[in-house]
Amino acid sequence: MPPAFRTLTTAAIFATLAAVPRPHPPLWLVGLAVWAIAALAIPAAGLVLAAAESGAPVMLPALLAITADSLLLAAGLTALALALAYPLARAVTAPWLLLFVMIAPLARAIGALALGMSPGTGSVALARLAGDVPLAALLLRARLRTRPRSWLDAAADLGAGPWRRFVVVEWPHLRPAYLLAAVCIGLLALGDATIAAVAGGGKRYTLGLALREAVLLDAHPRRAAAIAAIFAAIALPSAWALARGLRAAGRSREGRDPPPARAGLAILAVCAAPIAALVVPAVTWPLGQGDALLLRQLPATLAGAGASAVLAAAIGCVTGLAAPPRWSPALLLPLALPPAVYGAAWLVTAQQLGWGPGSGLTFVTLLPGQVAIAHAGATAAFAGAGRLADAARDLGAGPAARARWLWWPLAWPIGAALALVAFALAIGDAGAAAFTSGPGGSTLAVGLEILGRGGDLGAVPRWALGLGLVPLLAAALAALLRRR
Amino acid sequence: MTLSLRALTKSYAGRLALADVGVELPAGGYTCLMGASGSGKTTLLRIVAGLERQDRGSVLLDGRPLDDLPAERRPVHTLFQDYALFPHLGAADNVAFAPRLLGVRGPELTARVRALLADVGLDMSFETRRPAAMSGGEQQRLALARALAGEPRWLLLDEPLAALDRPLRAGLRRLLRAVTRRRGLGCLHVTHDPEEALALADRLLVFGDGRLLASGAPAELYAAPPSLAVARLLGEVTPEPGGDGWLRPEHLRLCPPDRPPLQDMSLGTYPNRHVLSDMSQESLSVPLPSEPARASGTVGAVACLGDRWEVEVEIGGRVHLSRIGGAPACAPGQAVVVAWDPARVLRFAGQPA
Repeated sequence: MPPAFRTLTTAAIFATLAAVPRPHPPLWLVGLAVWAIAALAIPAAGLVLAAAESGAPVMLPALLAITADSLLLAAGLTALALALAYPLARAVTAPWLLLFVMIAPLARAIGALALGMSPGTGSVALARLAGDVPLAALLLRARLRTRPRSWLDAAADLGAGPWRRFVVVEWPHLRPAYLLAAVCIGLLALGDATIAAVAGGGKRYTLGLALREAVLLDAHPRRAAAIAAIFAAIALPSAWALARGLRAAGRSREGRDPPPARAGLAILAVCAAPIAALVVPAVTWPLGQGDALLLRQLPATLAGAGASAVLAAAIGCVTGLAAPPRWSPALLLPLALPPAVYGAAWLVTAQQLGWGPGSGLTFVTLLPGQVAIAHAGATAAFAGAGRLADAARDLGAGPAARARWLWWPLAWPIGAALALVAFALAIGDAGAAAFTSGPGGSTLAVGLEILGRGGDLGAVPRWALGLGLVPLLAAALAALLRRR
Repeated sequence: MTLSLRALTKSYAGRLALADVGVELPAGGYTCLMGASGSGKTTLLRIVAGLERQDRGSVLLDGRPLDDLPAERRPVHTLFQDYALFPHLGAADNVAFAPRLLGVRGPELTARVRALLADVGLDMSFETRRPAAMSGGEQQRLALARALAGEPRWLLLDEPLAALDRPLRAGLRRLLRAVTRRRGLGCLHVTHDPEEALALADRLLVFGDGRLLASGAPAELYAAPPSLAVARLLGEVTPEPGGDGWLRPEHLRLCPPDRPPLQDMSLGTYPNRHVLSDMSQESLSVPLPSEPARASGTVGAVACLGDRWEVEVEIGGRVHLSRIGGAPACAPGQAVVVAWDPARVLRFAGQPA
């Protein structure tokens, strides 16, 4: 981690921790109000106000047809991902699963095409499943760590075979994790615009893609608002489910790894195939104009993603450590709203405020999702830290002493890891940034998507591979930090 | 420093956790709080520590109210049930946490930490070890050293021995007693284990449903509990044969039908011999009655409890328990006579056996 990056992370987390002792209800209420206004109310209000203006009708039948098609695809992908997740969860450890989850959807979509698949449902399914199956496996593995071994032993002792034991004991235990995974994967599939646009080749529609076209191609805020309303209706119960699942994940840290099953390694190989397919074209095609174009976008993308990641990690750590658990659904709501919804809402809002697209707007758009991710990670990592705070207070540590001697040493490695996760997500995002980065794309991922649709055969796989390897680099950096 | 609790009341979501609890605890005394789960013991401890705020009432130390002091400024430290050791700090740094906050530094800090670790039986090899690399007993010792390091006036202990196995628990119980006595420290110790409470306490407070049910010297409360609930919390009771009172199983003696009763086992089998030194000689010399009460029955079962034997005797369709110091000379199905001192029968108004 560069010294400046670390110093900035340190200063941000430390200052926030020192400033916000626990508990301090009035200050937290102000924080929640600011969050609700900035992350939720302003973009929603902008979209609603734009939709209220006179314009073309929504064309409800077409919208319902897209919704049904999108739901069908999401349901199919979710079912497949959940079925494949169990053996993968038994075979691969959590850090490796997280690595695959963090690979940018755009890189997976370009990788699926690089495998020689033609654009369409198959390519979309492979690109989605390459990330969705590891995500479901990650959630499932957390639950598998607390599988009730004594109940399984008791069932076996009473004569239940493997299938009966699974149905009677293991399935009821795993059901919350399956439910959480289904919610996450369903939301990702419904809201996806990037994979559908690149790997779908116009043959596959999702609600996220419909939203993108409503705003960017058709300039139809009413339809955009209608689609966003569908997403909001799904997001509210999903945020609640996410918060519940997160608490369960936090409780599973003390468990033991499940017995390994090698069959899952074959599924991991399938998930790795799209990225592996990028290697040959990436190294064999000569450098061209596309490379120069993307190279120019790299510094601003790195700076924007880095700054938003540091800020998000700091806020996420503070809320994960100290915010009351009942606030989790509100803090996780941006995670339940697809990036495309945020991008569309902020673009429409910015247009009304006279604020042009660019790095600033992309920063504001990406931040709530990154904060939600960081909050989720910190909540799971700091589960049970309240008793340490009680112990520190009991031993005489005031707010500043607690921040210095307890929270900071506990929070900074987790904060740094969360910043890396948020950074990897931001740098690979093309879902929200497609709306906010402006014509030509001011971020690397959006520029890459534009070049991909234009058919650049050299730069696209090369840079997509680079995006795909960002999580690996982040993981290596995290491992280095851990050793230190 | 005398710790005074005055009319403490606390409720959670409409459920009363503590109801008007008031008690004076003398300086340097060892007080145990007993009660079933959910009886308000831990709530009381957390209120004294400042980790919870009472709805009503007051906590005073030497007459000075602590209510407006945050937890970090109260002269009390807690030994938590799960120890709450800081996972990112080694043993020495865990112990040094409170002294550092008090401004102790350098050689003085090192010496204090080493002395405390030695005091609780942890040698220098533990200094850099993290809590995760220590056993349950070692963690408990470390937590005790950490709590003592800030030189509290009162030590609050929240079921500190609950997670340990029996032999370890006995050893650490003795350590706890020795260390706190040596320092003249006032202790408020929450437990649900009667053996632990009777062994450690100078004074016993028994809680039920958030209310203080009984308060007094452990031996006195054991011998004359004010209610059946208190009697049961402090040890097992068995119905008085043919009567409406209750007896401790060690007060129900056995003998063959044609012989006089065995010598009274109550003194020898009083829970844990080591508490005998805490009891006055007067309480030990209860004279045996010349005419003990007697009843005939049949032995139902005989079980060895290690240092004692338990015999189930069926009399008139009811099962009665007798505990004796050695192996009984009787077998299931055999006729026996049980005898007891009528003076030891426990009677509670409205709670017949």
